[in-house]
Amino acid sequence: MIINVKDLKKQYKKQEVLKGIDIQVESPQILALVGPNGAGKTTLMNCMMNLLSFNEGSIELLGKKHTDTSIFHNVSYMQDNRILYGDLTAYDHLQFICNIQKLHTSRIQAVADRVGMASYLKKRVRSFSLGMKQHLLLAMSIISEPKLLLMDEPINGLDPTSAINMRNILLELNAEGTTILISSHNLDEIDRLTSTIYFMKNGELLKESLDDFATNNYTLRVSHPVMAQQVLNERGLTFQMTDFESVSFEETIQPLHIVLETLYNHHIQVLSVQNERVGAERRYRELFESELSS
Amino acid sequence: MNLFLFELKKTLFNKRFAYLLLVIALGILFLFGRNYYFQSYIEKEQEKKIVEEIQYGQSLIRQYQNNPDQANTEELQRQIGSIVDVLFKLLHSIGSDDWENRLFLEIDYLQKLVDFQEVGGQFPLTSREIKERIVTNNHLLAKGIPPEHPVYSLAVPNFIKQAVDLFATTGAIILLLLAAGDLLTSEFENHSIHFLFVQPLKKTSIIHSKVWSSVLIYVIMTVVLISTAWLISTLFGSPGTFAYPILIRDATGFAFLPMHQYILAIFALISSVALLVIGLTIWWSLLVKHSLATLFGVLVILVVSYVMTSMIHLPASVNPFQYVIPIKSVLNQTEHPWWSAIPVTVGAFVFFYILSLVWVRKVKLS
Repeated sequence: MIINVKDLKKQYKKQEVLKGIDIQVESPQILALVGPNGAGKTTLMNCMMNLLSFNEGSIELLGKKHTDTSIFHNVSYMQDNRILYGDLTAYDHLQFICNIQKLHTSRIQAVADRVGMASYLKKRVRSFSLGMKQHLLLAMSIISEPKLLLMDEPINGLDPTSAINMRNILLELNAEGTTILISSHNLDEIDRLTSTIYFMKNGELLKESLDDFATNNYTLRVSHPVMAQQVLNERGLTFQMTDFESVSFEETIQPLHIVLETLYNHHIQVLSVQNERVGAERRYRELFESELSS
Repeated sequence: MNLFLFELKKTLFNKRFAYLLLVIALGILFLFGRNYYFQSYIEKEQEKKIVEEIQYGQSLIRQYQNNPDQANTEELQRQIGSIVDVLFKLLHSIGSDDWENRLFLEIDYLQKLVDFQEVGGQFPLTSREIKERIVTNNHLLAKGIPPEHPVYSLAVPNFIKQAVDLFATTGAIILLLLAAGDLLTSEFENHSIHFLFVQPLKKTSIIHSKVWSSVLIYVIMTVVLISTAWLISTLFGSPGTFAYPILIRDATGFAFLPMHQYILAIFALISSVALLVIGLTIWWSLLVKHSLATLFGVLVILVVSYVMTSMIHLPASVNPFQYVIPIKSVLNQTEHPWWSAIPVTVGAFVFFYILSLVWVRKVKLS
C-alpha cells in the first residue's frame, strides 16, 4: 500500500486537530487535500512526514513505518519556501539532495530544465522571487523521482505559465507511477489535476470523487448577444452574460443542447464554445457554506 | 559526511562568518598598529618611571636628613643614596643598545632595594615584584635574550603571544558563539530543519555535522588569528625568539616557560573550553530552539559556573569551567599543573555531545 493512515488523532493541548483520519491509497494517483486554513491539512502532512507526533493511530508509507528515515529515498515532501537556505544557490540545494540520495549530479541540469529554472540555477536563493523559490522547491521534490510526493500549497506564488508547467509535470509524474498528495487552495487547479479530493473540515476527512459532482461550465460567444439574451430570457433559461458578447451557464442547471437549440431557432450564430470542468469549488461551497457566509 | 560538507558550504558562504574573520584580522592589525605607534613612548615611559623612583628616593634622603635621631637612619640614608646612584646610571643607559648592561644595572638596583627593605626601608615596590624582576632579568641574561616590552612589543613571538592572550581572554568564546552559536537554532528559526528531517538522514547526523562544523569554525578563526599576527609582525616587526621566557608561578616558586610552550598551552586550554562551549551550545540549542536565548543561556552558564566553581575552590581536575579564563591557569600553577582540567573539560564536551545525540532523536516540530 502506498499510503496507509489509520485512525490518526492529534491534539494540541485540548483542541483536537485531527479526528481519526483514515487514508488508504493502493495505486498511483493524484489526491487533493482541500480545506480552509486551520483545517489540519499541513498538520496531517507533517504527521505523515514524521515532523509532528500524534496521539493515536498509525501511518505507513510504501509499506514502511513513517518513522523509518529510509522511506525518504522514495518519498518527497514539498514544503513552504522557508526551508531554503538564502546564502546557497539552487544548484547547492539540488546537489545536496543528489549527494544524500546517492544520485548522479547530471540529474540537476535535467530537473532544472524540466522545471524551467535552468537560467537561475547558479544564483543565490536570497535573490529569488516567490515563483522562483517554488520552482526550486518543486525541483528538490522531484529530483529523486519519488514514488510518493506530498505537496503543501505548491501553486502559491506561481504565475499562470509556471502553474500550467507545474500541472503538466505533476500529471507526467503521476503517469510515470508517482502518487501525489497535494494540498491547495486553488480549486481550479485541483479540478484540472485530479478527481479524488479529500475535504478536511475541523480535523475530519471527507473523501469525494469529483466525478460524482463535477459539471461543465460553458461559455458561448454569439453573433447577436443582445438578441441572445432576449430569447434565452423569454425561454426562461438561467445564464449569465460575460463581456457583453458571451453567454455562460453551468451544465447541471442548464443543459447545453437546449441553449443551442434556442439560439439556432432564432438564427443566432454560435461563434465559439469554451468548456471548463468545475467541481471542487462547487463541492467546497456546499461543504463550507457556513465559513463562506461568515 | 555529505551533510558536513553541506554545512561547511553554508558556513563558508555566510556573510556574517566572513565579517567575523575580517574583524579578527582588523583587530590584530589595529593591535600591531597601536604597538608600533607607542614605540617612541616606551623610552619616555621608562624614563618617567625611573625619574619618579629617583624623586621618591631623594625625598626619602631629605626625610632621613630631617630626622637624624631615628634608629638605622644613617644606614637607610646610605642605602637609599646608593639606590639613587644606580637609578641615575639606569636612567642614562636608556636608549643605548647595550641591553645586557641595562639588565645588570636593574638587577643591581633591585638587589639594593631588597637590602634596603630588609633594614626597614619603605619603597613602592613589593618584594614579590622585585623578586620576579630579578629572576626574569637573570634568566634573560643567562639565555642571551634581549628584553621585550610586555605590552608594546613588535617581536614576532611576543606579538603572537599578545594576540593569543587577547583571544584567550573571553575573545575566543564570544567569537565562537557569534560565529557558530546559531548553527542549529537558525535551522529551527528558519524552518530549514523541516527540510533536513525529511531526507534519508539520521537525526543524529545533523548533530554530528553541527558539532564538527563548529569545531572547524573555531579552527578557521584560530588560523586567521595566528596567521594574521605572524604575517603582520614578520613584515613590520622584529624577529624575536620563541624561547623568550614567560614567568610562571608553580609549587617551587618561580619557573619559566618558553614562549612557544606558553602559546601551545594557552591554545590547548582555549581549544578544550571551545569544545565545551560547542557541546553546551548544541545541547542548549535543541532545548530552546532560539538563537538569542541560546547565546544568552550559554554565556550565563559559563560565567555563573566559573564564578561559583572559583568561589568554592573546586579542584581543577573536576572543574570543567576552569578554563573560561585560561591564562590564569598557565601563569599560576601553584596548586595544579596547567593541564589538570583538560580531561574533565573535554569530558563535559563529550557528555553534552552524547546528550544532544540522544535528545535530537525525540525532537519534533513545535
